[in-house]
Amino acid sequence: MYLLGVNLADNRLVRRALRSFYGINFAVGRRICARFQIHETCRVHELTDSQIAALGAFLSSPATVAPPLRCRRAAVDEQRVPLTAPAPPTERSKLKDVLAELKLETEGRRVVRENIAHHREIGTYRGRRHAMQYPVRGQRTRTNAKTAKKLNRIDRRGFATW
Amino acid sequence: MPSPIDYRNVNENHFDAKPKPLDLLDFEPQNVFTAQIGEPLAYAERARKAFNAFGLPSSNKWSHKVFASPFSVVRDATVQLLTELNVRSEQVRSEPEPTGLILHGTSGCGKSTLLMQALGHCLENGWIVLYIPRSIDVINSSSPYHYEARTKLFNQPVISRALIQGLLEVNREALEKIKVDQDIVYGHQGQTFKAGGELSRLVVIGLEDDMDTVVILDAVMDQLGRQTEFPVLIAVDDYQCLYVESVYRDPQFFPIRAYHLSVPRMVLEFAIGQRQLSRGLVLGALGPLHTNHIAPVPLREAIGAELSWKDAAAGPYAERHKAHVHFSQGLKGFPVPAQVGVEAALGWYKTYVDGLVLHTRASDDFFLAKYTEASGNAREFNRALLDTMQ
Repeated sequence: MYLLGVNLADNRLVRRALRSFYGINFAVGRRICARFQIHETCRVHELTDSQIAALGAFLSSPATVAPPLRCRRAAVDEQRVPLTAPAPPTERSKLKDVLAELKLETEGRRVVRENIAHHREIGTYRGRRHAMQYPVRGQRTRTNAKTAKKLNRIDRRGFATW
Repeated sequence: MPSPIDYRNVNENHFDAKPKPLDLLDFEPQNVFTAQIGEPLAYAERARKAFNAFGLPSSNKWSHKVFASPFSVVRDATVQLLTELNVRSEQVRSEPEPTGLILHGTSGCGKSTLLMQALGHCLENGWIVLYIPRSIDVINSSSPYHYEARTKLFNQPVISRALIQGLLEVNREALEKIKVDQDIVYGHQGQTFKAGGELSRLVVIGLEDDMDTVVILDAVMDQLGRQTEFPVLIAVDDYQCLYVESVYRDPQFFPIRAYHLSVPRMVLEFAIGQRQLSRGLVLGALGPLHTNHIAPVPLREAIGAELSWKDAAAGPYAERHKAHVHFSQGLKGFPVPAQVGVEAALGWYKTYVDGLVLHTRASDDFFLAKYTEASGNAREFNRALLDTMQ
C-alpha cells in the first residue's frame, strides 16, 4: 500500500511500517497507532479506509491534526444508556499533545541541518568536527572514522545524529 | 541386495504390537457419575464441535494427539464440579444475583481441563454455552477496538463477532426454541427486532456485514440471561485477565483496564450479578501461567485462593483497587487439588500404555517414579511420561 508516496508492505505490522517515515521511531509509532485506535498486531492490509485517511492526514501535517479524543471511562455501576439516546458530544483532550510537535520527513531533516549549522555559527567543538568531517562524539580517528568522513558535514544529508 | 519384504507373509514376532482400539466411552452424564475414578472418557462430538468453534486454552490440551479421539480422566474434582453444576442448573433466580464460580489452584493442577470437562457435560445436558478459552487474547491488543461514547467502554467488534458465531454454531437448536420477550433495538438507525422472534434469527443478523456486533452480543446475552428454559454457562479461562491492565491504549496513550473493554465487562457483570442470569452460572478458571497478568488481591480473597507472600505479608496494606473489589463481590471459589490422585494418574497412564504412546517399557516402578517426580501435578506428570527417553 502506498501512503504519501511511501510504499508500506501489506504484511508488515503497522507500527513497524510507520518507521519507514523519517522522524518516526518505535515509541512514536506506538503512540500514533493508539491515537487512531489501531491495535498493536494490526497489519497494513487490515487498516480500514477511515484509518488510512486519518493516518495520511496526520503524517502530511502532524501539527494541524485535532487533539486526541478524551475517552472517559465507565464507572463500575454505570447505568446503561439505550441505543436510541442522542450521541454524547465528542470530547477532545486539553493536555499537551506530544504528537503535535512531531517533525517528519523534510521538516525533520531541516531541524537536523539547522542544529549542525547553529553549532558551526557559534563556534563549538561539535561544529568544528562537522566541518572537518571527523567524528563528533569522541570516537577514535587513528583508525576507522569512515562513516564520519562520508557523512559529517555542515550540510549533512545522511543518517541523523545531532 | 536384500529382497523386498512381502508384508502378506511376515513373521509377526519381528514387529511391534499394534495399539488396540481404546473404545472409550463418551463424556456423557450417564457415564461420568458411574465411571470409576481414573477412567478415561472421550470428549463427545458436541464438545469437540465447541472446541473447534471457540478454540482451545493456552496450554496444549490436545497433548493426547496420538489418539483418534481426545480424552480426559475422571477425577474426584470432576465429580464434585459436575455435581455442583447439576445443582445450579435447577436454581432459577428472579432477581440478579452473583453467579460466578472460579476454579483456582496451583499451576498445572488441571483447572483448564476441568473447565473443558464441565463444558462437555453442560453441552450434553442441554445447556447453552459460551466459551472464552483464552481471555489473554481479549486484552493483548490483538483485535480491533474503538471507543463508544454512549457506554464509555471500548468496543471489540471482531471478538464479539467470533463469540456470536461460536454461540450459533454450538447452540443453534436451543437458540431456535427461545423467543425474544421484548423489542430489541440493534441498529444505530433504529432497526428493531420484534418481540416473539426466534433468538437464532437475531444472532444470524449479527453475522451480517456492517452490523454492530457488540450491541447484538449484548442483546443476545441479556435475553439468554432473562430466559429460564435453558441454563446458560459462560466459561472463561484465564479469568484474572478480565481485571488487569490490558495492552490496549486509548488515543491519549493512557492504558485501558480490562473491565473498560466491552467483552470482559459483560462477563464480569454477569458474574457479580449486575446483569441478570436467571438460570446458569459463570464458570471461570484462574491462569497462573500468565505471570504479567496476576490475579488481584480482592479476587483471590473473594474466592479463597492463595495470596502471594508479599500480599500476605502486606495484609491490610496490599493494593486493593476499588474496581477489583466491586467485580469480585459474591464470587465463589472452587479449589482444585494440587495432586491428580493416584487412581486418576493410573487410569491416565494405562491409557497411554494401551495406546503404545510411551517410549519406555511399562512398569509399576516407572509409573511411581514419574508420579513422584511430578508430585502429582497433572501437567508435570504428562510431561514426565511423554518426554522421557529412559
